[in-house]
Amino acid sequence: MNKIFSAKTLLPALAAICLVQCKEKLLVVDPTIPIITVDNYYKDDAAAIAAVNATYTPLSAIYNGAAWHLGDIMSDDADLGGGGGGDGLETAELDNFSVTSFNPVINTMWAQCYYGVLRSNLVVERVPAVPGISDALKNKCVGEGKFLRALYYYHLVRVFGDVPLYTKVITAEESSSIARSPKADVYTQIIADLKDAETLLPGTYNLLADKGRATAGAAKGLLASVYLWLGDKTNAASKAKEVIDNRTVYGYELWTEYGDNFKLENENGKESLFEVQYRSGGGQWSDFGAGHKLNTFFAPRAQDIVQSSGYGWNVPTKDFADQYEKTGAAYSTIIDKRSKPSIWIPGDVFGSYTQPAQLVGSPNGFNVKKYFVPVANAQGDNGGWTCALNIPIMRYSEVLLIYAEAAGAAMGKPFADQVRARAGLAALPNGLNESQYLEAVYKERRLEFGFEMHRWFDLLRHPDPTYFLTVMRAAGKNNIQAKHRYMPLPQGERDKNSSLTQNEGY
Amino acid sequence: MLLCILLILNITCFAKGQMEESKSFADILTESRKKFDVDFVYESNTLPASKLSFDVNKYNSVEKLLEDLLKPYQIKFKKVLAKAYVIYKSNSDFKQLTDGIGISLSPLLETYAGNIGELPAMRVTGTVTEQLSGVPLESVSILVKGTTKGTTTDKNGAFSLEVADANSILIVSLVGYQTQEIKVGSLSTFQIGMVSNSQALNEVVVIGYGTRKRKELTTAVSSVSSKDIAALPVADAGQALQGKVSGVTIIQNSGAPGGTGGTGIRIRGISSLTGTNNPLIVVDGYPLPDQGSDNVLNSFGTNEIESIDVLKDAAAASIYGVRASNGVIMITTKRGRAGKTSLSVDMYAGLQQAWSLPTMLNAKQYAIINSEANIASGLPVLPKLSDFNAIETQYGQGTDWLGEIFRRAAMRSVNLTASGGSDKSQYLFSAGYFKQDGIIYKTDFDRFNLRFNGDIKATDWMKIGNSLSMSKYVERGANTYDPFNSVILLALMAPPTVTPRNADGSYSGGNGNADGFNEPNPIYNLEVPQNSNTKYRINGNVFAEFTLLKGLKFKALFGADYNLQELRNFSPATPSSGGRPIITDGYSTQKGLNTDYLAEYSLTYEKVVNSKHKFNTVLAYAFQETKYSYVFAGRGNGLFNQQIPVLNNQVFNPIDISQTYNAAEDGVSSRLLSYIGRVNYDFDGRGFLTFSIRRDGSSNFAPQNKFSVFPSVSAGWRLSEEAFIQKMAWISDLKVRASFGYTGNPNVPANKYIAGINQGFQYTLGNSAGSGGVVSGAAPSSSFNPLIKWEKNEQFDFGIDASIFSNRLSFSVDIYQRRSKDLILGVTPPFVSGTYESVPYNTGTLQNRGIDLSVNTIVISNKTIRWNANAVLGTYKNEVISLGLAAPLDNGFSRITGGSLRTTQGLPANYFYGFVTEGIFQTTKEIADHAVQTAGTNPISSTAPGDIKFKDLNNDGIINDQDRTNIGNANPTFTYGLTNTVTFMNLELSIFMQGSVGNKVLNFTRWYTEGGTSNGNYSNDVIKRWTGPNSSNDMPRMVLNDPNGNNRVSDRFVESASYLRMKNIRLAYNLPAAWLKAAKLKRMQFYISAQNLFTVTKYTGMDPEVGGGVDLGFYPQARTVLAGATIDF
Repeated sequence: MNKIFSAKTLLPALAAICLVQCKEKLLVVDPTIPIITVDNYYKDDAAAIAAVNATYTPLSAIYNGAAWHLGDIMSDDADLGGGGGGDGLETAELDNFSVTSFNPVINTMWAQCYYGVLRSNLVVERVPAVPGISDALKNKCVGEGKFLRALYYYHLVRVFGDVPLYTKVITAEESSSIARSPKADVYTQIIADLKDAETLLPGTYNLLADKGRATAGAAKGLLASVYLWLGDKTNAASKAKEVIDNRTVYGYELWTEYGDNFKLENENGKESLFEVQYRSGGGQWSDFGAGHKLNTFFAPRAQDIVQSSGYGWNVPTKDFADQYEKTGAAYSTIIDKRSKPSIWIPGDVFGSYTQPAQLVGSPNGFNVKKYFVPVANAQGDNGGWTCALNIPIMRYSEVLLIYAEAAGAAMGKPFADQVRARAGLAALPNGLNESQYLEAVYKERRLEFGFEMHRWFDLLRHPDPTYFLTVMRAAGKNNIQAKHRYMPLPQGERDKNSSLTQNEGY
Repeated sequence: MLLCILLILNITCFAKGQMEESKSFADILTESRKKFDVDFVYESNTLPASKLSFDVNKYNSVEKLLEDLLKPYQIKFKKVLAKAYVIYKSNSDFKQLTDGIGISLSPLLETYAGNIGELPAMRVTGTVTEQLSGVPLESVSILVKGTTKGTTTDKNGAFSLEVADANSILIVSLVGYQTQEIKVGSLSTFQIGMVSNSQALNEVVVIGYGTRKRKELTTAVSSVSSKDIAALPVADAGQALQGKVSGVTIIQNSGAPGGTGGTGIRIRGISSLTGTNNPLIVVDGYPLPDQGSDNVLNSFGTNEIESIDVLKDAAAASIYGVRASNGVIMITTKRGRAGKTSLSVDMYAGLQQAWSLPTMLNAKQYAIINSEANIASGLPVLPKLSDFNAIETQYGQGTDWLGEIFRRAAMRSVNLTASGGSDKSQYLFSAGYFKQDGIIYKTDFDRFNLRFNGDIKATDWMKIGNSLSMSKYVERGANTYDPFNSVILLALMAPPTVTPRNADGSYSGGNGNADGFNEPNPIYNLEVPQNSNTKYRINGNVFAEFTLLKGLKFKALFGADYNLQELRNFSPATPSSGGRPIITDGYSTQKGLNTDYLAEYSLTYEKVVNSKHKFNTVLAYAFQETKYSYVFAGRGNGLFNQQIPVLNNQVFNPIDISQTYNAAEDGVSSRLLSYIGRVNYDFDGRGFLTFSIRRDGSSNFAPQNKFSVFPSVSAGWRLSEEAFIQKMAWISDLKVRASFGYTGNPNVPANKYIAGINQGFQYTLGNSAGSGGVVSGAAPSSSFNPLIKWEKNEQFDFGIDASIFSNRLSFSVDIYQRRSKDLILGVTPPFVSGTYESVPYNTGTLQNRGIDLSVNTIVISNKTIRWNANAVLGTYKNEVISLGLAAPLDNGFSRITGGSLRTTQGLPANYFYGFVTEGIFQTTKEIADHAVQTAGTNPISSTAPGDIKFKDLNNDGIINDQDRTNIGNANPTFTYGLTNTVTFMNLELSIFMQGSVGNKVLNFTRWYTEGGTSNGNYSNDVIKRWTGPNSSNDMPRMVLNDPNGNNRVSDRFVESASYLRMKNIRLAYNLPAAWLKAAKLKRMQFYISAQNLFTVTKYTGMDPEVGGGVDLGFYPQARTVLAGATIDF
């Protein structure tokens, strides 16, 4: 049987030996790039900083995709505009108070805030455990984490009321069963976080590369805003006063010209407490890109003075334009220096462009100018919804007006007058009673922060709980009801978590 | 040993002496027999097959004659009886011959030799013909059962034979025909009709790790032959399958040249909602990784294919396990055959053009309609369009933009094949070149491909061989697919009052101020950006097969597949005075490398027990690894005006990172480890049973779920082999089959079972007024599912194969139910979790139930005409049984919020999701009485008479997203194909029609052309628009910016897209044999053919064949007319 040792049997036998090597460990493929997990990632300074950076990211999307819809379009300052019909149906629902729990805008607000919450929780929980981290870096990172967590919860609680509150990292299962916490608990957490942040954060950053990060001044300013929102005038006034008194420490000062606030070259400037940072290029045609889309969305429709033609959304109401002090009937007699940097009025000229008397979606020819970067500035906006201009969240003038309002006429009026003086307006009359004074400060805020996404929340926090209803009905929004103080929780979230109750009326 | 013995008796001699002609040896012997009055005994294979001129009459001696005739061929003869000679080659033959004849020889010979003219007990005569055609059959063997007596028919089909008595039985046989036994009885003259064996029954079907004859199959497998595939002038073999295989739906997603736009192949519907629905493609035994619709099928010529076998049911496909849930397409390429080298050339050239383009408004009509729309929306009329008559004077009909982008285009193909070899080694070489210009200007495709397939029988026990294919294609395409920049949509929209070029030849286009229109100029988009897609592919395998023992074989096969794809995109800075001019240079290139390796070892064993029990066993092991990697780099941002497409730093030195961009993925490998087994049992050619099992392990699955097992069982019973069916003479063949099996879909990306950190977040810091200041961030963006595994597909199939009326009509019908369980669906986490990426879970069930039918008939078959007709028909019903943990899936059109397709429980997957319309508001009262469509009362910004009335489905008084519903789906009720082939003399005519019934298309091109969207042009249909009460109830008023949302996704745009298409008509002429002989050619055929000659459909878009059912104005298929020739040397 020497045949057994012939090539005929040896060749297949060799092949069979190959088979023996084919063990199942072949199925464990070592990835080319090691897989980084939550458990092994936070181990050096770079990881701590990256974790903080990611916590800022949701701000870009919130201010692109939700903040102005809720803060301005829903208010008496602006209407949807745009091309009409199916153009921006989800925003039309907000404008017309027919919002449902399926609305994508409120979904964006909800989702992006919670991305921020998870990431700030990770920062607060993991950064102190990073091996060898310096106290300075740890404090800065945790301070930023707490500031941002407070900012995200502040957005959530103002829009939705009671919301799920958590400050630790949670599992997928826990996130599917968590219930809403009372508003009071959320505010307690916000105030606690901001109080920590104001001590942990530096007053200013020396490195240019850090410009745009949260500062102690920003934490104090935001805390003043939270107190004012809650009606705690004493704390609001004292916190605002802390900022005002330490303004030289933080470097806060009003720009001589109101319009200087909205210039590319003045980003994170002397009047800025905190702003959302944008750049041009990267992530085009998206709310989640690196730049903001407001330049294209707000510019006069199809007039080509901005990149991507201009869509003419968020159109100022006539009522808003009529608030500016003027010497005659015509808008050309407006003396308030804030009007030109804030809105386009028919006849306004920019280079060879003249704002017409009427445009698609803008029956009176108004448009928002606040975030305008002209088409010629390719660095500032190179198209595809990527404008580099930052969006202010809080300016020093707001601190002045918070103090003016919280401290009352006697103490506060000089601070309101400081803001008016910069706008080229005379001081408020003396001897206004409490409600007249409040009305005056409200009007001042309306014009000072026009299209800075504050108006709707100012209407809501008015001492008269029906104030927002009165104002909006007067503005012709007859659909509005008391339930619209809070937006509905996204239905998708309630589908995945049966513990989530819905706000009344939705 | 079987000996065929011919006893040729001189009394049966009818031969005529034709001296001049060459004659066969048998004829010469017959003449000699007559002349010399002798008989000859010989084995039929003793005589040479050749013919010669031989004059019998020259001889006086039979022995001298035999010597002259046979000696040159080393054939001997010996006188055995007085008048009988035995003719033989060797002594052993002589012995066998005389022994074999045995006792009966001597008396027989003596009797007849001595008593010439005396008839035996009974003489029968008759003719044998082919039953179907009536053509006489020559050389049919007629044998008297139980004896060695027999004869063969002459060329008139006639025979004559003596039989002992009326009880004798004649056995009539001929290769390729069914053998018959006929009792003589009282008849003496017979008309015998021979029924050909259905060729299909013995056809070899490639089933994966082996082959089977069709009659032995127990599973649902459809086969298409090379002839059917090569008849169509397409670059993609997938397209050639359309309408040829029952149960396989093929949709050409795009008419773009070369088929790179993709051909969707769906076997028995879809099996997965998130994973691939492409069948596994196996080329010469090598299962290739899924490459979507731009796959291996367009990398070689269709005439390289010998056959395509489609494994449809789970029992057939489960031998391919975890990758087989969408069925398997087995491609077998042509191989060399022993014999003289043959050379074959096939070439054709043709012209293509669009068969149906929409009619748009001319300049004056456009000015009228557009002005009406502007007025209705409260806007001033565009000054340019205000004087309608001046428009006509200035522009005439205006620019025909569709005419500008569509053209008549050429295509051509040449293919050369050389094959041949000895019985030890065979080879086939082929080379092909295919070039197709697109019917859209500036688009084209060309491909060069080579093949070498070889087989060597190295020793008695070792056979080695290979398949190797190499190809390169280059596609220069245009954007014809996206809803924003498709040149087709741009051409539909471009106003007729805008010209492609200015008077000085520079590009023009819509001007935001004068034309109110800012979309890019489609001619600019076709001419300026230079895009190319080049693909190099090498695919091949080598194998060695060892015969270890009788019936036991071992085979090792190694395969490699390399795919290098190079995408280039260059936008030279070329100014345009029109909308969105591209003023900056940009250049980018992407190179992707896809590699795959296979090692496979198999043992097969065949054994027959007691001649009735046949076993065939396969055991195999396979290991396969796939890897994808790419690099991408580009430059742009306007600082680069070199007008040359380079990345070279010496030519262009980038100033900072903002001028360059790059990306790379050093892809993760995915590995598959498989154990395969199958047993076939065949009982007496009557009953068949197959059991197969495959165990697949994939590196992509979670550690606990790496391996999965896919068993199947199938059985068949050939009823026609049973006596009770054989009594029914009209049934030629009848088989019933049943099968059940499991297959899988490995729809899991690598490493999805691990919780990762997403390091892709970015934010901007540091006062960036431009594009700088990027900082990166890291955070989890998804949770994970540690138990993720394959999707499981289970399928029942019950089938009948039958052939009746002498094989004149044969059909095959299958009924099946397939269920995909454990569907991998993305479950979106609650956003409260802080993550947003959906996590794959095995949840949900999808079902398809259907019937496949194929029918073949021979309508006419006689000496001059043969007409075959084949039909295939497939129908299925798709239903989402459950989505499990997942939410309804929304897909579709990115230009519309919320999409246009939805998948929910209880309905077919991806139904159209939109609003229901109820006609048009004729009066303001109707608007007031109806649910609110949009808030407000101003007709400029809200609903007005003439607008579409949308139905308030939830009766909440307001029309919003919650009023959307199922408004139809793209699944056809059935699809069919009908092929008629008529051969008449030297002409062959084949007519192939193909169609679909009941499918719907959401025609979204109308979103662009029926007003409301822009100042773009309108389709001719808007002439019938609403202009006042009761003027129209389907075409709304013309108003710019669509305040009522008339253009939202609604049943208004859902159209019936049933169609019947004259897919191919081909007329071929074969040169007569005499001419070929003169030219020393084996075959020469000239043909002309036409594709898509006409399409019968009510669909109003450019083409009713729309992959996915949402028509975004895709590249339409062309009508092609061509001429070609095939020459075999």
